[in-house]
Amino acid sequence: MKSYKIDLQQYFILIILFELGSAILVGLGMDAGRDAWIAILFGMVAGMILFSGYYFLYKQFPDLSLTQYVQVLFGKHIGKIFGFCYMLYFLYLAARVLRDFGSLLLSAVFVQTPIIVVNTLMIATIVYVLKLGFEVLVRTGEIFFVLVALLGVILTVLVLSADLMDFNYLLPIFGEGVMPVLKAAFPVTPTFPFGEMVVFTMLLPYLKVKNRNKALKIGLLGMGVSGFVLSTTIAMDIAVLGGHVATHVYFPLLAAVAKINIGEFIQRLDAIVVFTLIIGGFFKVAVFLYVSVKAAQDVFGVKEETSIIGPIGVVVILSSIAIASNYVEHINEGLNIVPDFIHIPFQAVLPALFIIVFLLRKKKLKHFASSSSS
Amino acid sequence: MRNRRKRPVIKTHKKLSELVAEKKAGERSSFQVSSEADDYKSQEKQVKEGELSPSLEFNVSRINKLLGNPTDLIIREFEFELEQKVTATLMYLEEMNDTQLLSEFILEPLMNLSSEKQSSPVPVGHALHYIKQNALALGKVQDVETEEELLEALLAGLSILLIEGNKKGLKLGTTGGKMRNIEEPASEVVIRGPREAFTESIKTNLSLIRRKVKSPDLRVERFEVGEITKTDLAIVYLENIVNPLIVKEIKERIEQVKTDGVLETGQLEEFIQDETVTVFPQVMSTERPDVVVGNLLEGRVGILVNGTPFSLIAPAQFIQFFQSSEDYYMRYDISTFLRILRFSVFIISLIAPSIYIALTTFHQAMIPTTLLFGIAAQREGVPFPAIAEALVMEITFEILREAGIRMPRAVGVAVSIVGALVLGQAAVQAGLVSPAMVIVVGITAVASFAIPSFAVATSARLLRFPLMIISSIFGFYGLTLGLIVIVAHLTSLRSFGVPYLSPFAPIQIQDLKDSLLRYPISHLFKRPVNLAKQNATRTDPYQVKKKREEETTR
Repeated sequence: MKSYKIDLQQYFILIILFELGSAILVGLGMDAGRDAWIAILFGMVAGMILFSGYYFLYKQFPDLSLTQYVQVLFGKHIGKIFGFCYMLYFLYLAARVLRDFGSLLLSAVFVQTPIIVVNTLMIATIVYVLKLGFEVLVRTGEIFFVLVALLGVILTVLVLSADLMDFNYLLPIFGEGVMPVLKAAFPVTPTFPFGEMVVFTMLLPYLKVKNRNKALKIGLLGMGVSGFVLSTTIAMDIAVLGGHVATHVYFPLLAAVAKINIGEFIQRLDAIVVFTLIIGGFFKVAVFLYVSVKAAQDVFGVKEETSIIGPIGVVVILSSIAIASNYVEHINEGLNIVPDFIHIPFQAVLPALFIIVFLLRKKKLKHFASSSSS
Repeated sequence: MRNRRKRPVIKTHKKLSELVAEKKAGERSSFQVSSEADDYKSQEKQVKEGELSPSLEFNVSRINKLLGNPTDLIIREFEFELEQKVTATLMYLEEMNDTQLLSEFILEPLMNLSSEKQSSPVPVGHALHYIKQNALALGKVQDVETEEELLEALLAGLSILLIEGNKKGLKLGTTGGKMRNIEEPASEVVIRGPREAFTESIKTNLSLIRRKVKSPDLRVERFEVGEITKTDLAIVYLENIVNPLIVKEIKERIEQVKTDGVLETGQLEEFIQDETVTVFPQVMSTERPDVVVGNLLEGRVGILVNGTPFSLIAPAQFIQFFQSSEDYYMRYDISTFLRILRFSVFIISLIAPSIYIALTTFHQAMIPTTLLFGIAAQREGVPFPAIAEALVMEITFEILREAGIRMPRAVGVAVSIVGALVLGQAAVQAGLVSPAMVIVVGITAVASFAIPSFAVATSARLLRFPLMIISSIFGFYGLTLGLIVIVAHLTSLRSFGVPYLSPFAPIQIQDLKDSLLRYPISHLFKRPVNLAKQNATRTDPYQVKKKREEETTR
């Protein structure tokens, strides 16, 4: 299973599913009001810079994942501590995204179902798929990507043809100046979802050898496309709902699509949105879960990754319940605490540190690299 | 009642006693044989185990004993003249040989032999060689040296010629007997296309394939499977196209098959498939020679088994089960339409009841308001939740379907009448199910019949039930996750190393042209990537086209 390599289109599809997974759901950059879509574009650019940093590290250690090369950079013991922290970080993100989805489903469909039931079902599916191998996850992604893209196009056409949009809601652009937008954009939007590309530091070694040179190009393309989709989606939400409503709804996309009513026949399409979101969420949680399994494997020296997928899945279920006592608290944490105290250290500060350490110890490491390759 | 009961008991008693008597008689006769064999004990010591003895009588009695004195074994003793009079024995199983062939081309020329016609007298020891060269007017004549070989040939329907004083015998290809004619395919009917189907005879089937491909690269390799039945099996492929690794893999798997008997390719399929725990067929089966040949041209391998008209094609991809041979005989536009239709039909038969359950149980808001009122009104009198309603109807349908297949024709009508009542108006009027549910079950049933491959229709049939249950608990959420699990399972499957879901996952753009879509034949100039690695390009259609254009402009 470890020998399985992904090719460029699978890599691209994985990035898009991963980026759009949960971000398309929540009101991203909504602090900027009607200029949220611009805030997303700012965030995207910042995220791309971060990704270039990850790519730099990847180029130095093309066969190693993040948790493996920190052990080279800092030595085994300190490296393992860093690896362990990253494992916890990925686990926490998996739990967060799972909670997002559980909450969405509860509010949209299962009002009386306990969240743990919904989450368990999701994790059970993910564990099943991951046990079949990362390869299966990627290929499943290919199939559902086509489906989701198709549904996305259909929904967009329906929103356009239902004549719901009022572009006046988007005007004036930069009505309060650039500063509020920048304030809203940083630090939240670069970190979520673009900075979460940090998980790809664990997945890039899976790329086929001949495709390694294009990892940066395709990665940035994937981020660009997903940033564009996110930005237009948010713009659409605002144009349908109006800036004020859009900022105060938990799930603006759902609210916008629910307004579609064509000829009293095509209506209440929010269930289709929920369907595509389940798929997106599935992939996002699955990627986080898989990455934390890989991290745990490196840190604890587990031979068979399949043996720890189940236990880690259980950990994710339980922590998804434990991280917040209700949805408001969960969202508040997500917007106010997590970006500053969790995302920025793990996405920007630590990778920057790794790069600095690498540059300082370059000579010694080169010796290591040459000896390990021979 | 008692009398009735007693009678069969007596009957079986009689039978038993008869059986015992027969057994005793059989033992006695075998005793006799063995006592006869005692006379040749001295000879037996000279003859090694399993080899033929020069003594004709000894050989014949041995074979007779080994086969248990079968009544259909014909032993014809006769004499012919070489240097001197020679006794010979012709043995064959009566119903498996062509008696006319035997008398015209073996007995007659041999009995007409006389020493005068021979240029120099032939000693008895060379008799075998001489008559093989000069007297037997048959194509397939081979030496037999061991007893085992002899028995095998005899049981395979060849006739055996043994000659006094020779340690070898001859096996003669006089196979005959009754076989079914080539008929129209019963399970894969097409409107436009060849009308011949395979029969139970592997020879006929191979000839059907040979006639369609006149290429020297067509390879036919024979195997024998089944420890007891010793069934003939052949694999066919085009050597210049096929991936040799796949052929090697298939051969290895066939050689590993250890079983008592193989009566149908379905049994073989279970032995050679990659994954056992799955509802999806990993090998394709067909009874149409043109389908086999079409697949050979794409680089697949055909497996024929004697005794069944169904041949296997490996490796198989999921999408193949939605393709019909007719797709290539009709215009590409209608073929593409039909393929998409068939695939949608598969999806419908898989999830239609689940969608109904999810909608009525959880997502009523998604149903247009007027329709919702209608359904609600219908369901008002129904005491069961949607899942119970759906399960009852689906299971009733499955029962009727099974009954319809197994019933004798005459009773079949009754089944369909009762079925129409149960699945229709009566059930609705009795308040057991709602009319909408009847429609859903009806659509599902019709849809499952529209899938060209029976094997894939069965997988949809089986998967329908778990999906119904999960969507009754979790609505569309459960259904979505169920579908993810199914797709993930499909992507994890491989058929002889080839990803089952290719060309969709992993995506192979070139192969997508002949998947759910069918591009015009002139655009399909590449063979499937996974199958024909060494010879990926078909005969280039553009050259033909160009030539034609040039000719017309002249």
